[in-house]
Amino acid sequence: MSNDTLLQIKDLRVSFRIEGQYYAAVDGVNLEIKKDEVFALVGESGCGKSAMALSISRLHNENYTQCAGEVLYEGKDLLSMTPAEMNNVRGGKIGMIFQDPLTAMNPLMRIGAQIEETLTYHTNLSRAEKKARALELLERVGMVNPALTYDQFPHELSGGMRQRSVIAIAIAAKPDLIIADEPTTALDVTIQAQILDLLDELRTGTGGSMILITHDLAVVADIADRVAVMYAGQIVETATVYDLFANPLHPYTRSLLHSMPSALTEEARLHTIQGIVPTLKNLPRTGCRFAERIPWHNASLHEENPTYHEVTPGHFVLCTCYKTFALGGGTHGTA
Amino acid sequence: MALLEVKDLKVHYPVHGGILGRVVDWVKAVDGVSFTISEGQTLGLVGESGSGKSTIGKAILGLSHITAGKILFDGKDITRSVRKNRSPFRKSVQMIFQDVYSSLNPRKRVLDIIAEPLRNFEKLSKAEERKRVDELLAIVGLSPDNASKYPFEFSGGQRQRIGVARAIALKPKLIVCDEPVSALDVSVQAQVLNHLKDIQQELGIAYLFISHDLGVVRHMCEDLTIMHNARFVETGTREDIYNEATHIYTKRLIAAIPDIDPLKRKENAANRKEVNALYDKEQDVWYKNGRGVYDLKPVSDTHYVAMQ
Amino acid sequence: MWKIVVRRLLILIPQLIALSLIVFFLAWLMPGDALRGLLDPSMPPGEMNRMREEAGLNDPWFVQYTRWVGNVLQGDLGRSLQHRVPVTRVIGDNMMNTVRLSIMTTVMLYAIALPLGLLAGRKHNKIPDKVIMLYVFTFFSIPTIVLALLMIFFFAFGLGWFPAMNAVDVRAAFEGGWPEFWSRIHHLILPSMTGAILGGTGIIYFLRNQVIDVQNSDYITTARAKGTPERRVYTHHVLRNALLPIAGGMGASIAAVVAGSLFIERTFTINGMGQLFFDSVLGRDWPVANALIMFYAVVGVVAGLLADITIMLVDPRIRIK
Repeated sequence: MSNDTLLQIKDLRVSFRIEGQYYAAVDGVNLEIKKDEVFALVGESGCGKSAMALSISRLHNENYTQCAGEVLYEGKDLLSMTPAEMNNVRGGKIGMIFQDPLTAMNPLMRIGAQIEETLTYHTNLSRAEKKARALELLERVGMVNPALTYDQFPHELSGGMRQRSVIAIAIAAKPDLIIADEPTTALDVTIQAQILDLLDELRTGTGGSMILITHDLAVVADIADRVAVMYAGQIVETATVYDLFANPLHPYTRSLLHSMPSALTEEARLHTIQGIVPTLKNLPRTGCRFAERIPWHNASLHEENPTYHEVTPGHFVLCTCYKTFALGGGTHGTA
Repeated sequence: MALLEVKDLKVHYPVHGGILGRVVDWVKAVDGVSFTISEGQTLGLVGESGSGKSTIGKAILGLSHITAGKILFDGKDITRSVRKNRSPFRKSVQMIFQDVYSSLNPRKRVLDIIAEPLRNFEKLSKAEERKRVDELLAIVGLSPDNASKYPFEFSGGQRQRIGVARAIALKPKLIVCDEPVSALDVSVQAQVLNHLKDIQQELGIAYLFISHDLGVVRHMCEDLTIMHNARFVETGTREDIYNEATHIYTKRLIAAIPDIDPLKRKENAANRKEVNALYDKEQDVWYKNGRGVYDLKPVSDTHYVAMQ
Repeated sequence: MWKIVVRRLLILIPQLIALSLIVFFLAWLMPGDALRGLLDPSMPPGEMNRMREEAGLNDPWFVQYTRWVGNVLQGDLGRSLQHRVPVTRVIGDNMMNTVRLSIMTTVMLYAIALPLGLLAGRKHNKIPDKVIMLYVFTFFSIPTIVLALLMIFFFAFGLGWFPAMNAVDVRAAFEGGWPEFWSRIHHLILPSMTGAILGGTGIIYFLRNQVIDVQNSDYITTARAKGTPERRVYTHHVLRNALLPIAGGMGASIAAVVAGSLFIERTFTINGMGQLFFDSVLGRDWPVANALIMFYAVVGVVAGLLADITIMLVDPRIRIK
C-alpha cells in the first residue's frame, strides 16, 4: 500500500440473506482510494454499488448481511473494528451523503441540532462553540440565511437546501473521506449543478477524498478523477476519467455510454443492452458475467475465469471480451 | 388543423386558512399557457419540479380542475366534457406514468391490465381480446407468454413497456407521457424511448412529452417548450432552444447540464458560473416583480420568448 | 396552532348536538318507560297517567328534547327515576371511581406497552420479539371477563396479594388521608392491570411495527453514519418517530380504556359509571343512561382533540405557525 492511499478495499464480498440463503451483491472487489481524489463508482441499479458504499461504513443491517474481506482505512481494517471504534470512524473519518435529502434527515429535529449531533460525538466543543460551528458550516454550504436555517425543520427547506444541510452534517467533523450515494439524483438539473460545484469546492484544498456513487455518466465526467464501472457485483473496468471516456473498453461501459440520450447531440436511435440486469438470486457466478447480455459473441472470446488486464497504465478491464466487442446493430428492445 | 389546442389554460388551487377555513389565497400551478399539438407531433414540455408541467398533462386528461381557458381536441371544445367517462375524447387520449411500480395494479395479470381499456370501450370476444393483447405486447417487444404473469415478475423497464402497451391499446391519437423514463436506468430508458419512437412512426400518435431531462427531450422531441413559474418562458424547435436559447432561464437550464466529455469540465463550470451571474443580474429584465413571466413574443416563425 | 384548537372546539358543537339527538331518540324508542317499573300494580290507571303527565312523559318529543337540553345546559341532568335524586348526584358518586380506574389503567397500559413494543421492534425476529408477540397474540383474543376472573383467582384468592372487589376499604375510607389513598391504589391494581394487559396488546403490536419501519428509514442510517452510539440511535431518533402515530392513537386508547371499564367494574364490583350504566339501562332509568352516554361520547371527542393537540406539539410538520 503506497503512502497516498486513504482507503484500500481487498476482496470485499457483501452478501444479503434471501429466504435463508446468502447471495453476494458485491463479489470480490479490490479498490484503492487515494488521498485528494474523487473516485466514482458507476453502474445501474442492482450492480452492487450502493451495497459496497454502505459496507465501507458498515451501515447494513447485520441481521441480514455478511461482509467478508478487508476495508483498510489508513491501514486499519474497518470490518474487524469494535462498535465503539467504528462509531469514531463514522462521521469523524468518513462522512456520508445520501440520495434523498428529505428522508435522510430526522423530520422531528431542527437542522442546527442535526449538525451539532455530529459535533457532539467527534469534538469536545461546548454548546456555544457547537452552535457557532454549525452556523459557520451552514454558511459554508451556501445557505443565504444560516441563522434562520439553523432553527428550521427539514420539511421547511427546498430540495437543494436540504441537500446542502445533509452535506453540512457530513462534513461537520472534517472527515477525510466523503461517501456520496447518488447525491444529486433526486434534484433538479440546476440544483444538481450547484451541489456538484459545492462538493467540488468543499473538497479542494482540504486534501480530502470522495467516493461518488452514481448511475449518471455525465455527473462522473463533470467531477470524478478516477472511475470504476460495476456490473453484477464486480468491477468490470477502472481508469482515470479521461481514459474511460476517451477509450471505454468493456462492452458494458461502452453500452452505457451509447445508451445515453445526449442534450448536446442528436442520434436517431439509442443503443440498448439485450436482456435485463439479473436479480441478486440469479446473478451469474462463473465466467464472464456480462456474456449473457451479448449472446452474439462467440463464447471463446470470454475467459473461463476472467482476470483484469491492464491495457494502458492504470486502465484495467475484466475479461478478454473487450477486444472484439462491437456494438450490436439491430439488437434493441429484446428482453 | 391542430389535434390538440390549449388556449390560455389556468389551473389555480385554493389555499384555505383562518378559523373557518375560508379561501385566503390561490396557488397558481398553471397560469395562462397556450399551445397546439398536431397529429403525429411530439411536443416536449420541460421544467423543474414545481414548474406546473405535470399539472398541464393532468388538466388535459381531466385529472385536475381547470380554472380558466379552453381545450380543443379535433376542433371540438372539450373543456367541460373531459371528465365524462366514455367520452370519445377519453379513448383518443391516453397517459403513461412515471412511477412504473404503482401505476400497474399488482393484483391483475398483464392480460387484464392491457385489456382493461379495450373492455371499457370495445366489445370483443375473449379470443379477439387475447389476439389484440398479444399484438400489443409484440409492439413493445414482449413475448405473448407474458400475458398471464403479474407485474411484480417484471423489471422496471418491462413494466413501463406494459404501461405503453396499455396506453396504445385503443389506438389513441395523443399520449401524455409524464416523465416516462425518469425512474429507469439508462440502458432500460433507451429501450423504452426507442419503443416510443417506433410506435409513433407506426401508428402516427402524437406525444406530449413531459420531462425534466433535457437529454431525453432532445432525443424525443422536434418541438419543445420550457416552463418556469407556471408559465412558458420559451417555445421553439429543437434547434431554436438548444442553439439559440434566448430567455435567461433556458440558458441557465442548458448550462446546468453536465457534459459527457471530462475534458470540457473547466469550460462548462466557467460557463455555468457566467450564466448564473447573468441570471441573478438580469432578473428584472426577464421577470416582472422578480417572479412573473412575460407573454411570449415571436423572435422567428417558430421561436417564441417570454419578454417585455 | 390555537386557531386549529378553536376550530376543533367549534366543530365539537354540532357533534354534540347530533349526539344528544341520537341519545334522546334511543331513549325515546326504548319500549316502556321508567314509571312502569316503579308503579304499584294496584294503582288506579288514572293515577298512573297523572304521574306520567307530571313527569312530562306525555309531551311531544321536541318539547321533551328542548326541555332536556335546556336543563342539561344549566347543569341539571334531571332526576334519576330509580333513585329519585338528581342525576348529577347519582353520577358524582360513581364518576370518581371510574376516573381513578381509567387514569390508573392508562398509566399501566403505556408503562407496559411502550417498553415492550420498543423492545420487540428493536429485537425484531429475535427471542424477545418472539416472546412478546406470543403474549400479544394470546391476550389479544381473551375476553375481559376471563382474564379478570383469572386475575382474581390467582392474585386475590390464591396469593391473597390484592383485594378482589370494591374500590376502597371501608375502614380506610373512614380514616381518610394516606391510609385511604393507599387502600384505593391497592384496590385498583388488579382491575387496572387487567385492563392494561388486554388494552396493551394492540399498542405493542403497532409500536413494534413502527419501530421496525423507522429503524430502516434513511435518517436512521444518517444517524448511524454520524457515529451515533446504538443506544442513542434508539433513544434520540427511533423512539420519537415511532411514537408519533401512537400519540395519534392516544385518543382512541383512552376512550377504549373508559369504555372497557364497563366490564371491569362489573367483574370487580367497583361502583363506577360502568356499573351504573348497566343498572340504569336495565332499570330504564333513562335520565341517568342518557347522561352517561353523553359523558362517554364527550370523553371520546375530547380524547380525540387531545390526541390532535399532542401530535401538533410533537410533529413540526403539522405545527401551524
